[in-house]
Amino acid sequence: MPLYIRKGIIALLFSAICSLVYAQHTGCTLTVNGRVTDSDTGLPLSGVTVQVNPGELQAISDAHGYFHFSHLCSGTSYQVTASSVGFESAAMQLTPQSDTRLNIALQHGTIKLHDVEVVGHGRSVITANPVKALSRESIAEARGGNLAEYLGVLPGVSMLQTGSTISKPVINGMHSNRILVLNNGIRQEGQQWGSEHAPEIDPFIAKDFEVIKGAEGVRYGADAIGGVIIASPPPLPVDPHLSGEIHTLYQTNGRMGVVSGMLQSAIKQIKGLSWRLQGTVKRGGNIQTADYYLGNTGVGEANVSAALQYSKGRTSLEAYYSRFQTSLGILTSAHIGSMEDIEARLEAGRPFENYPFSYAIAAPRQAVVHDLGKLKWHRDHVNGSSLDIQYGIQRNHRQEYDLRRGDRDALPMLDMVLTTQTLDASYRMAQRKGWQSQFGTNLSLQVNNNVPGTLNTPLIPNYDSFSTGLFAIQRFIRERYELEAGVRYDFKTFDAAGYDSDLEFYGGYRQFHNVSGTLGGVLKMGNGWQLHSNIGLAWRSPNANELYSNGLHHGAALYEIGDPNLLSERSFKWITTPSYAGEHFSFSLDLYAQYINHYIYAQPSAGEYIQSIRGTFPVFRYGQTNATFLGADLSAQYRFPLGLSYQLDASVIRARDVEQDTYLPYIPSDRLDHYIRWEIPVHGQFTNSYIKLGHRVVRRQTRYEPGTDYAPPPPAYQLLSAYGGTRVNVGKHTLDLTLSVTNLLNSSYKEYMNRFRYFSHDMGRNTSLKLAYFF
Amino acid sequence: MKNNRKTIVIALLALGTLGINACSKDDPQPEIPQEEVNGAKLTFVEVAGENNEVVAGVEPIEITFDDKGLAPVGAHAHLEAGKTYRLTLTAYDFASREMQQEFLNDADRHQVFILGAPEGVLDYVYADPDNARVGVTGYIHVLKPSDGFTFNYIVRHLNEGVKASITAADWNNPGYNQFGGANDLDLKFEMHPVEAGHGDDH
Repeated sequence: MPLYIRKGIIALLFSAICSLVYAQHTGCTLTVNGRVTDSDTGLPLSGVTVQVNPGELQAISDAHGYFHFSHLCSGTSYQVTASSVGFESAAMQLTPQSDTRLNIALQHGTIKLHDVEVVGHGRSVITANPVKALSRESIAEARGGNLAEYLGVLPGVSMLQTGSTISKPVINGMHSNRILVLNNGIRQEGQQWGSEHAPEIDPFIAKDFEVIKGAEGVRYGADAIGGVIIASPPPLPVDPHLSGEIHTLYQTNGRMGVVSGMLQSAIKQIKGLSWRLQGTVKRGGNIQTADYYLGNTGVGEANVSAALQYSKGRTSLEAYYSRFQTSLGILTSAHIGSMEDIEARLEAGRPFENYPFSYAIAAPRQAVVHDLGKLKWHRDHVNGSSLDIQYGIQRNHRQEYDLRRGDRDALPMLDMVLTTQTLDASYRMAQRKGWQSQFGTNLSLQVNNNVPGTLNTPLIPNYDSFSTGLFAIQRFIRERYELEAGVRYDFKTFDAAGYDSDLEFYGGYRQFHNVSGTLGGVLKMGNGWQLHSNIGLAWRSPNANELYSNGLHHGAALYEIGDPNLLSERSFKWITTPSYAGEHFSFSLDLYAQYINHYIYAQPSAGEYIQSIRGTFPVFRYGQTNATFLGADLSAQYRFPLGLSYQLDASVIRARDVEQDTYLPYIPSDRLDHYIRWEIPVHGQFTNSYIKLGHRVVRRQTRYEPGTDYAPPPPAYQLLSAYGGTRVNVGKHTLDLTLSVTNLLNSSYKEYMNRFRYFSHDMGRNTSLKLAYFF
Repeated sequence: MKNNRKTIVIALLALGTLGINACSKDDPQPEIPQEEVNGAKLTFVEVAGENNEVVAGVEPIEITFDDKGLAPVGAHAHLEAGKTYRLTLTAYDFASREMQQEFLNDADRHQVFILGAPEGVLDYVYADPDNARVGVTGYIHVLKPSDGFTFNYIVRHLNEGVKASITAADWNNPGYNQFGGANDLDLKFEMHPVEAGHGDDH
């Protein structure tokens, strides 16, 4: 290309960007910050709905009564209304000329509900780290999938898959024990060390899905190295009127059907008491790639949850219970016995067997039951501070079945019960002259027991582990900026005991100490620009499998050996996010650099093989190194006239073992998703109608170490997808219809982050129709 | 109200403390690994005639394998060209009990493959009861003498539905890996087919 043409194109691009940015400075960039208080007591009111029209903007006041609007237009006359149960709605006119503060005092309604506290506490976490939340539309489109599939649409979040039935979320290249999942406020504790152990969460329970990519080790303790996933149910109702929702969906691939329902109400006779019941049933059969069925990839799920809350005055007590129960098949063709088997399958590139469609689930399979109980006590004080005490108990029963000798397919190879109890207390002080403090403590007791009788050496030993942590976070909040600093101390014990395959006793007692810290800030530059920056020091101690595993990894044809002397990983993650939100254009760019000291991963042990009567297997040993992760996640959106908009999400990550100067395995390759969306201008009963076309481009992972994997990463691929949805308003009830088609062209492809890419392709076209009825 | 609050706090703390005090791991129980075959033996018995009757006075050749599937150092077998041998597998479980019947009981999911012989040297016929075509018992016919080679006897645990795609002619299919499954046994030793009359004399 001649130089002048190139220069011309660059100049054109620059002028386009400049004019784009200039366009944002004209008009609609004002913000309104405000607070809602009780006119009688002067106390802040949380959960108050504040609406701004025109623009149909809506915000809910947070725990301290604060709310925030941005992108308001200078000189426009807005109607602001604030409403909450038990209070008279307040309405006022607002014509902002500059960024404005607005304080609203609500008067008690004529129906005297003086004791009804408004429940709901704004965003579930306050942090200087940028928080990415799933939009309602993304949630509706993801319904029926698992947690990782929900979150996979966020830039920087991808999936680690084991076939088509098991996926785990990956945040900036970190997964399993390096990220934390908060399930209704409780740290989810399953056997998450396993790459084939998906989080045991029914996404239908949650209304909000948030991802924090920064290291949140101070607030949440060990393991929050790569980020935190927060799945939160909506607040319980205060209105004694039965409400609920019913979801049904059908997807063609796997012929999967899902029904999920929820009912909730407050009890009229007992003031302050409200309840919710929820349940989901899912059944799916063999998944189809572009060309063939994947044998034994059915899934069955039955989940229930119940919540009860009693509030009196400024105190509330919540009890919650959920059960997640799944049975999922593992691709039969992935059951291999030796390196020769893998090599034969690699050469074929697809399974040798041809299976028909079936709902039957046979070995190899997993059956997991996860029970979670929670008791939470919350108290708001008159001075605006609040205290939370929360107890959680989880019991995770995991059974894994394999093809076994004799009639033992029905006997699990692996049968483990992990019980985790947590006690968390945190005290958040009211904001005073911009200063806000939070203190807390977390206690955790975890016990893992292997259920005897598997006739197989357990993969990990029995253990008990106690951990305790203390933290303090200080925030300084100004209109234009916020600063945050935190410090934490953790102490953990780990006591393991087991017998290996030679029936020799192994195990021992370990102690871990750690101090973590965080320093961050938010700069609100005005005109829609913001800058988040945070540096976090987090840690995690080695897992049971990293310390003690000693056995054949079926499905990978390798022998994994742990190291009982491994040290804790320590991570430093710096994440900086410039963002801009204007009337037409918005973007957010996460730039991060992470250094992990004593990074643990399994590497092939050169020349070491284990000879068994079934054949010879290469040995992988867990070791430690120092690793760096550098990356960027971009999310940008442009809103055109006539309801058209364009969305672009992209992420790149570069990870290295800096000690050996090699690449790390299983790091997501560069990817880009972009969408063009049209909001259909239909009126009457129909609202929120849209169609959307998506395109995903995933590059081949070229940064890998040959010789450490059976096969090089698969080629690049592209996928098209289409979505459409509408909302039908039937009186006070609504019906949402969402139609989605993923892999529209039924492309045959393999994803590097799918551990079964040796054996098969990824999922072919999938059409799903989702109905959601809210009443 | 104040009392209520106290009660709740005490109840919460008590519950937490109780939970934390009441839990520690169980003593582990040694789990005798019963999944692996613990040893094996291949026996070659010379037979003759239409009914494959045992030839009297000829010592059977026995090759034993330990729990790692290894034969003793130097183990080898000399089979004579033109002769037929009944090859039987004896496999042992963790308690050294014979367990080869397990393969026959689950005949739809098991098959033996015999690899390593040069082309045209060996012929093999499955001879399990009820035409099970597993290979716990079979007849090896030595077609001609050849150089020594590593005789590889594999018991394949097949995935569901795979056996239907295998025929008796696949007994020495070097691409047996494409019959989905895993190996229960992978046994190797040195075999030397020799001219008739040069039997097992060294």
